[in-house]
Amino acid sequence: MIKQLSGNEVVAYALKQLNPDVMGAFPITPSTEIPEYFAQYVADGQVNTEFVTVESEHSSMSVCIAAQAAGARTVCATSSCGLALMYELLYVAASCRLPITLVCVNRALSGPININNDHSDSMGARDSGWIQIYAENNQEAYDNVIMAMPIGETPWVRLPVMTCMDGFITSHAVENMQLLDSDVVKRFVGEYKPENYLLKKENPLAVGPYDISAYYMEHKVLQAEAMKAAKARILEVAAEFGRISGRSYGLLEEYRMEDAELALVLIGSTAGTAKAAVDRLREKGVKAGLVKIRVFRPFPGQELAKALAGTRAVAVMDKSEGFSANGGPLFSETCSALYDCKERPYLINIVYGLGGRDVTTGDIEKLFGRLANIAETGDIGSVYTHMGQRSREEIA
Amino acid sequence: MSKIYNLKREVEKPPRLTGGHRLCAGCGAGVVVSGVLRALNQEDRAVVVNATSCLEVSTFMYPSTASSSRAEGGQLIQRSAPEAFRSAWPRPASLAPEAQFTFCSAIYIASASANNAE
Repeated sequence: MIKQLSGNEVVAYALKQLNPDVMGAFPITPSTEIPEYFAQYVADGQVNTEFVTVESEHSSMSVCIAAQAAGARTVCATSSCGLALMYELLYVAASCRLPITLVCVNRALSGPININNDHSDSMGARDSGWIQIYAENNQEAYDNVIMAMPIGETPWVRLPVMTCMDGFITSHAVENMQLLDSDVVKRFVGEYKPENYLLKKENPLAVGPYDISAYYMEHKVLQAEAMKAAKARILEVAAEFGRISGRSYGLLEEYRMEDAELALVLIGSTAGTAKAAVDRLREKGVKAGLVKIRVFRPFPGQELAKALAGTRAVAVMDKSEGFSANGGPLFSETCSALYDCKERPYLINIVYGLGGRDVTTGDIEKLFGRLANIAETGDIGSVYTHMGQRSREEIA
Repeated sequence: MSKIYNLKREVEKPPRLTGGHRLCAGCGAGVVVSGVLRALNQEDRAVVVNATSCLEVSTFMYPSTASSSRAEGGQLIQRSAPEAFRSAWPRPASLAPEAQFTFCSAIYIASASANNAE
């Protein structure tokens, strides 16, 4: 079935097909439409979901944690400051090993307050123990939500999953969507059958204890092991999803990388823009390529190193500013991934698109020009720079 | 019809907050929580929820908890800590198999036919 839907609409539709037990709902731009559309499904009796409206995102995540611990399948959607307000609870959900599904519609984090897209919200939560899967477009946003539960609920993973899409660019743009039949989705996701849960009366349970130093480290190691194990499960679920949808996904996507000498590494909707730029450069004979990181947590370090092997110069594009004074988060990960490679490409970091600053195919082509120059001369210049901002003179 | 509260009758119930927790000697919190939990009938099951606090960390320290989900035939049934953890992390040998434990520590009783209604 093909329909024209916005990213938010299609995520709400996916959630309807998944028919979760509980949704913790609090509105925040640009994710507001997700609980809004979903509330209509609830009102129309099209889902059996307990729709809990709360007074803050701290509470919406708390609702999800409590309900998931009780044995329910729970979902949530938020953006930006909403995700920041959940911050404490994100760690609780992950450490209690509750496979909650959260849709993060990426928006810049205050301040200054800004409602447009960048990745500073979910990048701030990158070390919270959640699996993070990023969408390039509406179709991927839909597909990722449907794959979230089979990944997170697997006993040897048992981690919460955050599926991310770019605010407005993806959430509000209408695209042609290929939707799966609800019966197919239902069969694919199956019933949620946790081995243990709070309301299992023959086996009452304690959740979230005070964990002293005698045990805390062991539990953290288990979480780390689960995150490592999640890689294989994500690929397994993607393969199963490929069989029902005909669409294939990996941890990352390589675009025209076979013989690429110059490459970009980036996340999200900019991949669409970059692919167009790569195509244009290829027509001119430039060996350009792109690696789109789909799964950021667990980070596909080995896969990325393999994808970049053979390149000469690479620009890592971060859509969030980490203020490390040493580059953005994706840059750090990429540097680590490449460290053990015998022949590393020259690597630069570009922080771009903050607070919805536009990035065009022209910008990307210009960046490839810089990469070509680096590959030729070996002179990197500044490793870590910003792109798309005006100079003082331009503003004055 | 509700019964008149009778302290003597209430304290004859087996405690839901067991001894051995780490609250300081003389701390009022334990007494209060015991009193609140006695509002449950013996056959009731309860979900006990407690915000992070001194009370929580003192009564609910992995791998045990002082809160018990129910009292059965005068004998307390308790369960060990988070199953999500426990399935992957074995129970310490020092805990006898029958000494199992339940949920968080006290204060808010979320379920069960709690009151002494008859």
